[in-house]
Amino acid sequence: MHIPDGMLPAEVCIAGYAGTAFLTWLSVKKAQNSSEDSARVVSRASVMAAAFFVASWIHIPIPPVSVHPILAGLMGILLGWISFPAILVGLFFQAAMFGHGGFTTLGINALSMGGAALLAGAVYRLLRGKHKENMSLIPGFFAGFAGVSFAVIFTSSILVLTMPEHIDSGIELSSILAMAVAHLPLALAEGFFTALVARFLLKVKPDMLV
Amino acid sequence: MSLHSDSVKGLLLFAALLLTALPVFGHGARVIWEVQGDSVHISAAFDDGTPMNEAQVTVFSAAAPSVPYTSGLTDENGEFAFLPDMEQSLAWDVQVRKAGHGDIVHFSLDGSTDTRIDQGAFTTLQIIMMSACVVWGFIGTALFFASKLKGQNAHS
Repeated sequence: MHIPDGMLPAEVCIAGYAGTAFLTWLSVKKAQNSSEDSARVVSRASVMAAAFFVASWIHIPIPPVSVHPILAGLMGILLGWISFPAILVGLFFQAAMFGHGGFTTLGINALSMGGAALLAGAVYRLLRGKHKENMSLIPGFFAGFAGVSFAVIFTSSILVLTMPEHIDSGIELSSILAMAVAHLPLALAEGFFTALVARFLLKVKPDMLV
Repeated sequence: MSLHSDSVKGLLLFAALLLTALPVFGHGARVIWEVQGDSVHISAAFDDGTPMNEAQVTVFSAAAPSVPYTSGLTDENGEFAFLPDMEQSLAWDVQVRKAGHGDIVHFSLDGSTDTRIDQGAFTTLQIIMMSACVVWGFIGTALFFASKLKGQNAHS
C-alpha cells in the first residue's frame, strides 16, 4: 500500500502534500476543540503510531502478492481525528528508516491510509449511533473493513490514473488488480479484529473509543 | 493513582509486545545491477527476498532521460538484462515497477564505481535495532505525556 518514490508524477506528489497539510491542520484543530486532555490524546496517538509503524513489517503472503496490516480501522476508532497525524508520523519513519514508501509520495500515502482511518472512525460513529454502549460487532467490523478498502481503492485509483506511457498498461493493470483483490481477506480480517477490540474496549474502557 | 500506574504498566507491556513481535519482512523493493560482459544484469526483489517476477523494467540513458532506451519484463527470478550503448551514454537509470511498487537505480558505467551495488539492504539485526529505536521513541513520547497527565491530576 506504500507507493515509493519515482512512481508518481510531480504534480500528484505536490497535490498529495497539499491535501495532507490541510487534513493535518483540520485534524489538529478538531482535536484541540475536543474536551479530552491533550496529554492523553498525544500519549494514545504515540502508542498507536508505534503499532502502525510495526504493522507494516508483518508480511502476510496471499499469492501472487503479499500484504501487510494497515490498522486504519483500529486507528480511526481509537484516535478519531488525531489518527491522521499519527499515521503521517508513522509513514515518515517507515520511509526514513527503511525506504518503505517514499518522501515524495508521503503526502499521497498519508491521504490513502490517514484518510482511511478518518473514514473508518466516521463509519464506526455512524453505525454505532448515539448509544455509545452499543455492543454490536457490526460497527467495528465495518470500520475495519472500510479502512482497508478505502486505502486499497484510493491507492489503486492513483496508480491507474497516473500510469506512465512508457509501461505496458495491461500488465500493470492486472498487477494492480491482483494487489487489490489480495487485500480482500485482509479487509475481512481487520474488520473482525477491529470489531473484537471495539467490543472489548466497550466492556473495560469505553471512553477510549471515538 | 492506580489508574495511572496501570496506564504506564500497560504502555510498557505494549512496548514489550511490539518489540518482541518485530518481524523482518517488508514490502520495499531492492534492485541490484551488475555488469556481465557487455550487458548489464538487473535483479529485483522485495525486501523479504521474494523475486519481483514479471515486473516491468524500463531503461533510460542520461543522454535521453525521457525516452526509454529499452524495456521488458523480469523473469521468474526477478532478473532482466540489457545491452547498453556505451557511445550513447555511460550513465543509466533503470526503473523496475509492479503494481506501483518497485525502485529506480541510477548508475554509471565509467568504471569509477563498483560493478555491483546493493541498495537499501539491511541485515536482520540492523532492522530490529532500527525498529526498536523508533518504537521506543513513540513509547517514550507516550510515557512522557502520561506522566505529565499524572502530575496534573496529582496537583488538582
